[in-house]
Amino acid sequence: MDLSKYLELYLSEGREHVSLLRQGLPLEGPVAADAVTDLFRHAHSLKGMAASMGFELTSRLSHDLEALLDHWRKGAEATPEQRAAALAAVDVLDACMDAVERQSSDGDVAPRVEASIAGLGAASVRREAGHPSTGSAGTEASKAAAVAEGPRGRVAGNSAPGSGPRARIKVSIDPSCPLPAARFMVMAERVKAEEPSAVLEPDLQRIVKEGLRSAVFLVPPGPLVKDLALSLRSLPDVAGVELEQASAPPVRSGIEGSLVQSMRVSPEDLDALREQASDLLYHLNQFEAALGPEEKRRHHFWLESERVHLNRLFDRILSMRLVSFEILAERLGRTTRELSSRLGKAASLTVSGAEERVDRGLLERLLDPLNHLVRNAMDHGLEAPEERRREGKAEGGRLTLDIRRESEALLISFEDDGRGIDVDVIRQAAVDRGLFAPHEAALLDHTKLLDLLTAPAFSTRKEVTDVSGRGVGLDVVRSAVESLGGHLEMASEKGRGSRFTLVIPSATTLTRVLVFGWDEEVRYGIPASQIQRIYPLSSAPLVWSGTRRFLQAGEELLPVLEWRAGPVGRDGAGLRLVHPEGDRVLLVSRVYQGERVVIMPWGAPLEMVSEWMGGALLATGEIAYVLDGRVLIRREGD
Amino acid sequence: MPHKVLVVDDAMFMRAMIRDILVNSGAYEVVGEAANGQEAVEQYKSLSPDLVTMDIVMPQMDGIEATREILKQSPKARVVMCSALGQEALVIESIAAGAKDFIVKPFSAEKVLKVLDSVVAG
Repeated sequence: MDLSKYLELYLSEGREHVSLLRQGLPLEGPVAADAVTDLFRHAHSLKGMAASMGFELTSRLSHDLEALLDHWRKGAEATPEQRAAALAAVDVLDACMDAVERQSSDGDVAPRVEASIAGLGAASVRREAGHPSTGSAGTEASKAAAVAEGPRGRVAGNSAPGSGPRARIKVSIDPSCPLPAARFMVMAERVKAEEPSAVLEPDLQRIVKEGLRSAVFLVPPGPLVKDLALSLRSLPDVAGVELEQASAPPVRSGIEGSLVQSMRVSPEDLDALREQASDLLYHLNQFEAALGPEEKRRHHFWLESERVHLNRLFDRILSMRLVSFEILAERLGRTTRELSSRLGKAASLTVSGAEERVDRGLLERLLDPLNHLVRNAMDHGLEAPEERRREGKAEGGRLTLDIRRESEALLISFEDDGRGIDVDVIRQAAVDRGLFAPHEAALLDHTKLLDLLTAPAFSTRKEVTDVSGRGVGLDVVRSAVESLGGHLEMASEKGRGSRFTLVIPSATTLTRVLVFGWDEEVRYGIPASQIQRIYPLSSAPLVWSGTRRFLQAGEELLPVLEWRAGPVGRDGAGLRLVHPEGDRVLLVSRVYQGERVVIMPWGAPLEMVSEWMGGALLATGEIAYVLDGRVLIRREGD
Repeated sequence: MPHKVLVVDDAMFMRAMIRDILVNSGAYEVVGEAANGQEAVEQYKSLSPDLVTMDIVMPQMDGIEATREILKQSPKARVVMCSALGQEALVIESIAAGAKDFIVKPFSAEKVLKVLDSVVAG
């Protein structure tokens, strides 16, 4: 989200809160309850606003001030130390506002903020000593537990076990959810609306007290269970839903008693397991596709519950395959050290975010491109020590690798502080290679020129590499990233260094696909991001030229992608697939709709590039086979 | 047809942020804004929105009281609480009072929309 547009409003409203805090803070005498409630509210508003803008220091200080005011509000005596600390905090909040106004960040006043937070802390330590029973965290939890015990809380907290066998729906809450108990309560209300006899185990009081993040709904077995599980799965903050139809007695012994608490499993075994699970999913999809509409309706329940189980198995296997980036960071560090001594260039690699965990297969496919980037940086990016000295840089080159997650994508940035890429040299080379006429090349901007480095025809030529200072096989890096469904971002400044960011969508992301088909029976899909336009064949005719077919779109002749598909009539359509080396048109008989789906990979081992991305369950309950347009085009000649 | 939303928060800044998230999604339109619980109750009566986003800590009448008041008059009202970190007790109290769900500051567009979508669908 672009926050800069809110800055002005933040400052004007924020300053108002600060000034009202200053005016209202009582220097001496008793503290009126109403006045403190107002003050509390100002601090509270400021906290929320600052957090929203990402001003963490302002937000933390407001939070601590708010806690002190809350304490006063509940009738505690305001000591002179506390009053002084509160006033000092308001001064610092004022300074935070100034800093934000000057440079859109409160980072500058960090030492003052920390000091003020410490001051508030010291004043409250004394406060806690005086009133041992009013620890604010404890109050919060016990209050929540008290509410949870109330008549409505009992909806979720009924401790009388229902009679008869019970199906168990285990729900776990995403670790990033700040208020898990409140989340369970919302969920319990929903479950209760569907199934009044449902019981939450453990009950809400215990969830609040122990800060639990997973719990089980006990419901009568039956077809409803599956629907309930599916609808719980779609709720916010729900990380996982597991369904146990069987009424087997719950195993409650815990792990303390067992002899073996964890065991080693070879990656190959896990891969085999994953492949078998995806085979099962594939067969289920095939089976379902082969059923007629009537049969499909009749067997809907079993198909669905089979899918729930398979997905659960899949989730379990996938989570077992998660590994941190540490192994990869270690390997890249080794490459850096080896090249450093071989090339006589001092360099160090700093890694941040290595604790991020991803699928083992993904990590392995990232090794080559990242190794490539390290080699490139060592070979071409970093200058020789004497040249660095002349440039006024530290003799040792600095390489940094930063891994982080942003919404649904994984961002892996690799940066060097070397000589950077000279885009003018690329421009000249583009002209020399005959890729662009001089007047065209003059119009290419910085980004376009950098992009040129990743074009296969360009970057594989050694001469270019040597003069541009970078670019051996950047096309390899790019296609590796693209085969993972991601893209490569580049930034470089001459003399300052280069940054390459691998943007990888995480596997569970919802992808928008366009659904189409060649006959009545089977649905296919292609990610909408790969489709630039849809041409109805009634208005865009097909023409032959030599042995190739083209679709005539206005002035443009677009080559048809000849792929094993049935004949397409005049009522069909052409999907224009975007590709850097020239768009292609895929002819299809009918286009249904766009839909957001989770693409479930299947079948082929990760190492094999397949034109099939996987299967997706459509809202109608049908399966779509999702194709990767880029792979289709790349394999056109095969 | 986008869902009609009443946005309640004493900070204009927060209202602007929520409004942008809602409007940019295309699925919601903001039909009214209120800066305290009292205004919220009055606006709800005259606008009958599909959904209310309700701040908890506000002057005059707080969000929980306003939620109770709105639900007394319109039992089917869908109210989503806007909470800050560390307010679990207040959020639980709100849900006990009949609020349908909650969102937590600082807001992420994705999270907010997911919660609102599920409230509208449920």
